Amino acid sequence: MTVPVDAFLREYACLPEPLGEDAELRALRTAVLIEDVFGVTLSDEQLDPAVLGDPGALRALLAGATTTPG
Amino acid sequence: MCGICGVVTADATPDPSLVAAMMATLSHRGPDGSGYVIDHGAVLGQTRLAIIDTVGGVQPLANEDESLWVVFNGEIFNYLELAEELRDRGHRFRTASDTEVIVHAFEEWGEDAFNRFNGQWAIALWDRTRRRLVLSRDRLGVRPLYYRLTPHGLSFASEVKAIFADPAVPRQLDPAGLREVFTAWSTVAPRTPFAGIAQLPPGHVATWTASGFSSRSYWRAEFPAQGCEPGQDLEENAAGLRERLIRATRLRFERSDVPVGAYLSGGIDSSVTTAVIRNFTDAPLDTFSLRFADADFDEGCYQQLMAQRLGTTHHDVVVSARDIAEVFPDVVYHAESPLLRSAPAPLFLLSRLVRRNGYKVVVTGEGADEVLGGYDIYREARVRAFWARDPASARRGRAAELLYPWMAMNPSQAPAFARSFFGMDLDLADPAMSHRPRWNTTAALQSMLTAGLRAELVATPATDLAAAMPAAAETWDPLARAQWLELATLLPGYILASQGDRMLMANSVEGRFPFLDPDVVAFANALPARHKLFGLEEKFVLKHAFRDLVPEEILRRPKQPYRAPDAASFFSGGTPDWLDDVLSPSALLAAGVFEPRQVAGLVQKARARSRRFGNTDNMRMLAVLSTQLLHQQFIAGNPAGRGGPPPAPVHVFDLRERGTA
Repeated sequence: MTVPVDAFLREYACLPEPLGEDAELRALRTAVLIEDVFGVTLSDEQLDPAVLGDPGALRALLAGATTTPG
Repeated sequence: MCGICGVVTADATPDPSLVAAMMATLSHRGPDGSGYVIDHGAVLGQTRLAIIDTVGGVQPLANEDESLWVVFNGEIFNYLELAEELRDRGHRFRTASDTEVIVHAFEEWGEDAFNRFNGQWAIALWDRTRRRLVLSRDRLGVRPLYYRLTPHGLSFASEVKAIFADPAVPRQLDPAGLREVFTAWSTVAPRTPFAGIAQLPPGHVATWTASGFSSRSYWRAEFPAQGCEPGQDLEENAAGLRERLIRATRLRFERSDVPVGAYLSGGIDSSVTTAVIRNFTDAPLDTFSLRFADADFDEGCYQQLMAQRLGTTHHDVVVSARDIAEVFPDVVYHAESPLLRSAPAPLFLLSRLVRRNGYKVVVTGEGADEVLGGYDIYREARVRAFWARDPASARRGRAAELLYPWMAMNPSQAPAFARSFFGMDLDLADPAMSHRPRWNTTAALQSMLTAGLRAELVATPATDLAAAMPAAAETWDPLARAQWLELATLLPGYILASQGDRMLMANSVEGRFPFLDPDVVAFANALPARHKLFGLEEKFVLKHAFRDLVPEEILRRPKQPYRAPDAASFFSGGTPDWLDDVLSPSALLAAGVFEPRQVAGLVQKARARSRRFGNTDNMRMLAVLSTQLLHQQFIAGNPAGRGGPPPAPVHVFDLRERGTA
């Protein structure tokens, strides 16, 4: 069963803001979560604070990651 | 809560005075009285800590026609509901105790009775009609139960020292048991540190008759296949967990005829159970906390915050390194195992505080880390899997800093440490990948063993701890597999034993564990892994479920694993009197476990308080000290020698004149 992106993002919103972490570490924190929940492996380019730290970019990434190629 | 013991034989009736001597060694488990039943071929004894039906619940206790007798250590929390059901089925009760429920339930349902119990127990039932002894232990191993098989019978007890009350029993350390401790931090049942002494595994029932002994599992931890968890909604799962935890906590707080207190560690788990007691029951509440003189280990500010918020009557004990060193021999005497940490010692002092304040029952938060994904080992496994998925990544290495913030403050050390420790055994196909670093690091202790002992171990294949995992585990989430390993090894072998039952019962205090309630465990096991460990956020659903009752400061504080000063306790500010005795060349030679030259080097390093004295050295030092104390007290000496008479009043039931049932 794939976790719906909307449900995941609702849960993600419940996470407390990490204290004292730089943007790169925050991105890695999010990447660990995404890979675990969606069973994907992100590329180094995707382990980017600009992607994983931005809600819109994150949603787009997840939508791509959970879409089964037709 | 009590101590139980007994002897059954296929030939002559066991000597009642031997069982009385066994009971005497268990006085600390049951100082309120004792009793034994004598039958042809069986004597069963018990020392009692009176908690439910303090007057009527004297043991041993029988069914209506006295064909079935029980001795029992623990609590059956749903005894009122079971008694009602059993009365409806025609059973007649003489007491208001949970003990009596056991005999009627066993009459009614046989071994299926154990699956109906919500509780924590070690039980021995003597069936006079079928001349059989039935032993049972609760699902997760809260209560201990040891036994020794002989060609003609069996002896059993809550603690090994009671079995050693028989001077004819050989007392030896088991090399294979020591290896298990020096790998997984504890032995894994049925193995124990002592040769010839077994323990009934958690969730098992065993039967002895003159024709043999057999043991089978009546319960085991199960998890759904990854992605097939029945509930996927966080709000619903949080509500379900909250409802079950409130019920489990109330059951453990309210089902007692004596006052019940609560441990308050300053972490989330005990804050949840204490807040539930305060908000969902009416009784006044005393809370008990452990503080450390060393600020690095102290959680006093969080304990105070919670106690003040809840308005409890709060007590604490401040433990110094010296305190740990002084009580450590007693700690080993009660733990009956080598220890790789000093952490049980402060818990021994905490239960003493409880008892001195007139309490003999406490609710505690143990089990939450195992059941709801709270341990660092689970988070480490997530990061290691993250690395293993793309070993060539240039960016993933820094993820180690997410585990331990101190790494970010020591960037020069962090990458090397991460590579050498967390980077070991990155095999995603290994069902025990989560635990390999711990086991491999701990196994380094074995290099200190004597050549003779190591040669002996070469001839005995080591148990593969992961091999016992059910075949279905292949379909589980990796977190579930890691949880299974914790539930099968460290929880019963160390957390509930050396840090749990043994340190509590040493001071005649019973612990109750809401997070280990069977409904809570079954519900938690069925949750999606992400609701337990959301990325690296531990106990995610628990925090969500109780965010209204637990202050933000505690919910958001970095997890602080319970630790105490280890080797430093024994070498800073002088050494304790007993230390030179157990580390003397003659004592090391007598025990034959550790290579004296290696011990000498380790001690020298500890005395110099070397800055290079790291985690493995701490484990080594604790392993040496505790094993030497164990040998001194249990092998060179006999631990049964400490016992006086069994606690009064002593109730004796002699069935020999009544014939067989």
